[in-house]
Amino acid sequence: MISKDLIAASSIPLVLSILNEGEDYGYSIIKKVMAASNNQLQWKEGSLYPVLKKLEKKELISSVIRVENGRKRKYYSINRSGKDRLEVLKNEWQLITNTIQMLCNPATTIK
Amino acid sequence: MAINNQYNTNVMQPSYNDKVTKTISDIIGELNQNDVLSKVERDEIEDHFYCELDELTELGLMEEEALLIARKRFGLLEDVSAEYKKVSPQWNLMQYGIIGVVGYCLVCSITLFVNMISEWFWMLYYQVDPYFVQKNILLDIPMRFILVLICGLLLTKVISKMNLTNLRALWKIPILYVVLSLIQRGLSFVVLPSLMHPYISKHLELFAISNIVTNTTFAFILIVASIKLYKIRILELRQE
Repeated sequence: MISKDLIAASSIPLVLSILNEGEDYGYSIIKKVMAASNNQLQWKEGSLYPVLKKLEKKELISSVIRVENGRKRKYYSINRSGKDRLEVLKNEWQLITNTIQMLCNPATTIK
Repeated sequence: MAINNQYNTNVMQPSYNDKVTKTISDIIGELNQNDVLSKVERDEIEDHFYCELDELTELGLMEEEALLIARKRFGLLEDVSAEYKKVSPQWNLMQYGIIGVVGYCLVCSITLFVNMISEWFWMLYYQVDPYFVQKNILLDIPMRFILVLICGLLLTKVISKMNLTNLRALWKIPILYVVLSLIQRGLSFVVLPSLMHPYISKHLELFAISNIVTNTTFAFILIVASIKLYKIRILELRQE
């Protein structure tokens, strides 16, 4: 079980990565994260929506509302600034991963 | 950050039983206890639950069972509500300042527009029959008063209910205000010489009363709106 803090810290890069692949909505984003992590990374689903709101407020993503099967659905897409932010976050996570790997297993070569 | 509302008017309701629909509605109500959610956000959460129900009922679960699981997966409502509050710009003091300025400009721009129209009619009456001028001036006072009251109520409602993430869009209002001001000043410049007519000069006190009433009402609305916002902020700080 992955810790709550780590899940919270990774939520923004995960959401931005999914939206970088194309427009999507809340429930679908949750399912994609679960599928990508082989059901290991289980969010409290409600916690995604404030994250989306925060990203939207920071203008990293934008939204549009569509009606599908009679339901109002809010689709999100990544903005230019969101893509830039994602690149920064990817580098940061890579650095952390490499550092942990190096410290935990000094024999491993850092790529 | 634009939210383009593309609502279809032909909205079909989800085909779940009343109990399930009511429970979802209650969950959203509980989540929105402190008015942290806009209408769009409430619809989004509702869609989330129906998506989950669709998936779980397709797997063969009963509606009530599916709802229980969906509710559990969603997490603690207090936690989600608290997260929403953290990212809600309505609790940001800087935004309060913007609301104040925008609100003031909103009220000014609407009254300015009405003033322009009333002045135009007033001049028209003046040219037709001086008796009507006096009537129109007297009518002007309650008309302005009612108008600013309506604007004030609308403003308070907007502050309470609007999706404040779209606040930037309201900057169009000060621009409108500037444009209308320029038009008004321009018109005054043209119209001013005709105001020197002896009859109008004699009844200038009515204009003075009208202006005092209007400005006092403006001030009253701004004070009420500020107190309301201040109370919201204090409540928020206590909850934090």
